[in-house]
Amino acid sequence: MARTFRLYRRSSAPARRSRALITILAALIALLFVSIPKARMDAPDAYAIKDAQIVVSPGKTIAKGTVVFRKGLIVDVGENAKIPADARVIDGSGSVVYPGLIDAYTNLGLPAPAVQQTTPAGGGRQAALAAAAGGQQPPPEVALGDPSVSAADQVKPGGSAIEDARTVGVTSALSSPRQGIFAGQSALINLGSEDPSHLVLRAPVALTVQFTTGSGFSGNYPASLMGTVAYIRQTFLDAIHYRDLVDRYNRGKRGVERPPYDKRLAALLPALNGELPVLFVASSDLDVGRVLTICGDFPKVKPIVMGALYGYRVADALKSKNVPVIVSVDFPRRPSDLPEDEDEPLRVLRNRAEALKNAARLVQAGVKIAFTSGTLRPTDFIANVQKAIENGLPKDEALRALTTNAAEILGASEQVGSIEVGKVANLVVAGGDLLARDAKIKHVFIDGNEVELKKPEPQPARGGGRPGGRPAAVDPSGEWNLIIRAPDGDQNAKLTINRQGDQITGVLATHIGNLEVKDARLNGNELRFAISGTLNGQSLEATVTSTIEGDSIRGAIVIASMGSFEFTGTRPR
Amino acid sequence: MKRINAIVISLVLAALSASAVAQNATRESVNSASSPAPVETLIQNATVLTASHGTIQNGSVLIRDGKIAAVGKNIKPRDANARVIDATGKYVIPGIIDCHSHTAVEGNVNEGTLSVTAMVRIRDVLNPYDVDIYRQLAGGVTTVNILHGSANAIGGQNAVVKLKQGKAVDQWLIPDAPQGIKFALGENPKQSNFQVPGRPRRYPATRMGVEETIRESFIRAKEYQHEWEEFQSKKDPNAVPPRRDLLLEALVEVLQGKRFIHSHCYRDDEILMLLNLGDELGFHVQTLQHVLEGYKVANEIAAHKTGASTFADSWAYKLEAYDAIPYNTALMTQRGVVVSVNSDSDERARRLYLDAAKGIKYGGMTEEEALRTITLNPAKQLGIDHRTGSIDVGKDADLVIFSQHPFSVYTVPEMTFIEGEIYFDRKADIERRESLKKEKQELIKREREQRTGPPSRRDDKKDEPALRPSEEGEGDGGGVR
Repeated sequence: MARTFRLYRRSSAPARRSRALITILAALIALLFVSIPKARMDAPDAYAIKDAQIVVSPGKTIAKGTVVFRKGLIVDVGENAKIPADARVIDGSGSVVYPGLIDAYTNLGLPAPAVQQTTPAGGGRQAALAAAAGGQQPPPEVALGDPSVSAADQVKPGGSAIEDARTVGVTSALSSPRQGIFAGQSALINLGSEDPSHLVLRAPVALTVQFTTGSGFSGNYPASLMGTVAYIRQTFLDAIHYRDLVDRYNRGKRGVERPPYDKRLAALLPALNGELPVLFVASSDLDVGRVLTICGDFPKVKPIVMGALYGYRVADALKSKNVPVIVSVDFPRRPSDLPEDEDEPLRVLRNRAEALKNAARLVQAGVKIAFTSGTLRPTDFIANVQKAIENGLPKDEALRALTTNAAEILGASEQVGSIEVGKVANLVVAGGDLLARDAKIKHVFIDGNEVELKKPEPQPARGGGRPGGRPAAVDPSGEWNLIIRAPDGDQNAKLTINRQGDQITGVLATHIGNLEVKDARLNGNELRFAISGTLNGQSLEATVTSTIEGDSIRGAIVIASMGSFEFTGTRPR
Repeated sequence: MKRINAIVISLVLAALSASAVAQNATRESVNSASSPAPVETLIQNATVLTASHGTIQNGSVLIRDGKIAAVGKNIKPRDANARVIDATGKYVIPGIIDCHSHTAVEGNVNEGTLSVTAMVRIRDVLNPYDVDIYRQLAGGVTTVNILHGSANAIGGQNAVVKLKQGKAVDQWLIPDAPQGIKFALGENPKQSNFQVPGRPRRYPATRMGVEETIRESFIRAKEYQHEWEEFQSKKDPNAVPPRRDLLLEALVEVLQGKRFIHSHCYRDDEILMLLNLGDELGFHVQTLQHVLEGYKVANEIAAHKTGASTFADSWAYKLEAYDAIPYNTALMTQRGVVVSVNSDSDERARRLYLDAAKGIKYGGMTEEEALRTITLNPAKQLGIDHRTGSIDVGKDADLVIFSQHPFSVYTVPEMTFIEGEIYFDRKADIERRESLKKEKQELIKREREQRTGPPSRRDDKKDEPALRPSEEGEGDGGGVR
């Protein structure tokens, strides 16, 4: 900086002054908005953490040793690792150094999904005939997704979600596009960089395919689970046909009809050829069965299963086909609004108890697992991994799932997952056992840079009125366009919220009737309310919990004994 | 029929609340993995209604390796360790077959977005955890024809399954059952009774349009078939295979006689339309479903060797059903039509044996004719009568033991066997209830302890957050989206 000013002194005085002013302003602005590069400017090239217990990889520990890393890479690990003269030395005595944790499925760094328009499309003779003709693909749209979408092109650094993840020791995450059946290609990102071009560790990692159904109201195929399965199979077949046409054309172009370029089908070919794994979002064991059936028809496809809440029920099939599972720890919970004496069905109670044992049983069956935070906050994510440990998952296996296994499943073993020379310096320095309930994290290094740890987010008072610690109150009023994820497909609805002082009223408008918003409570950016009314002659009562960030909202509608239905939405300005 | 209402209901959360009601109706699914079969089982001293060759008084049925090894009087097991069930005063009938069901389906039973959805398959969305499965087993049902809904002129592919609760769902499919597909005529595919506001009406909107939709689809299927035959006959190594089309593949299978049509219909005019269209285009209609005016055109149905699967009653519940009469089952049977009585409902499926009995009151069917409408006849209609549907040597041991005559209003199904294994046992069910109750109480107790945390925390102020708040409510069902 100083050198820059000296240069300007050689210019004429007025120009010099104004230019200097601009430069100072620019520098100030830069400092205001980019705090980490400042930190990085101050940061040394090399660090050494000495006298620490080092968990090189799960099950492999150095009781007392030193980790040295320089320019983002680990350069030495061991009991007698030499500390370079220029290294900043961190006394690790009493601390344990872990490889950074990997959240194996997120949407971190990606923009919130756009709200679908309820265009009165579908139906129509043309659509019917087109389907009968079979020769045409339904038009590309949000519900169907676009396999050519790449998370690596879209991820942005920073943001509270990424910062929160770091506070529990997550340093890398698979970030996947989330819209549509063929959602697109995921990227493994490091959560430290403020520079978009340095976020990506590996891309593409896998093609994300989900059993989401199309928009229920607008009448576009598919709008049922069976339609979605058929759509996936047909699309794979279309891609194979496309490949055949292109291959034929490339063998000799003269006299051969030129195949039209189709970027969506072209993007599927690496997946169909087995070069790019397909990550199937399979929420239950039944979905896992569907994945295995589909892959039976396309034997080159390399599936990764994500979710698999009761995956242990199909553990043998997963094991025999060598399918890795990114396990959700987003366990089913008892709806808090259920009366204490509510008589829930036995199978619901059983399911809630069994879900906790899922990870342990999968591991026991020899299935390779990683973990995903799903819709959980980072603190709940780790807390639920701890619950899996309390329900029979060996702690080493839990750590493996969060480090080496995740790296292997995501094809990044060369880069992350363990503390070995040459790997990326993603490190977590904890005061003790990282997976203990009272874990304390002292330092987190990502790409060799220490990241600032925000004061850990207060334990989410999901529903509890908790003084302080919550994000500043937001104003929920306005009209929100919601997409509700119902079993039959995404449903659009409009939520209107009026606020007068502490009084919050409103209405949830659906295509077949309106529901009144009652008992609304705003706590920080959490809005909770009940909805009741009559839809189609059926009386309906439900509770809604939601989180508002700016003009986007997400949450869940909870119907007693039915579980809950997530929604997302935006508030157009 | 009623399935169409489901479309309307499913539009929004109403569907969810509807299911909530259904869930509340019965609290516990007594999830019974079937008890493994011993080498041999002998049911003796029973009145055996074979459905194929009359009634055997004081008769026995011997089961070996999941098959019926012997039927008659004075049968002795080969194996000294055989399980012997004394059925004195009781009745044994073949496992009940429901030729029209929508049970155990995950998600919507209609892919109602298009008028032709021959590519979707029920087998892809079977839900073996549906509580209604056990209720049907408790009603003596062993085999169901799970159909796509009736929203589309050409719907999706059905699945013929045995209700092997507790087994992996791929074992439910009857391996040699012919494949099938749902068709639908009349009000439902033309969407007379429901419309989504703000959404244009789907084609077709008339009966003419329904006919044309089916005709056009088969014409395209023939073109598709021709395209593939051309490709295969030319054996040109440089030729690219035609695009595989799952929708048209299913219709080609219909043309080849490999896939059965099960068509929803009510009125005589639409029934004749479909039969004539089949003659024109070269497809066979395997069954007419509901077919409430079938008695008016029974000769034509019989001449086409088409089966009829109807309701025992529930008449005039909508315009198309105004000409329905209780004698439909008997009248069609008299004209030589193979008739079955179906449920189209998880609730009615539990008491199909009483629905079958109505054919005796209305139209004077014989006892065996009436019994066949829920056993041998639906087996014929589904192409599985070589292995189930009657009590004959060599067939699958799909059997039900009733406390009294199955057509008595006082009767109770006591045991249901599928391929020799017990999937419902009333006595065992009653005995199990106490331990299930205990299990439930323990699960509730454990959850409560975890919710409230260690005792020292219990006195905390209400406003304070729970110790581990993530264990609190707000369940999202664990959904990963």
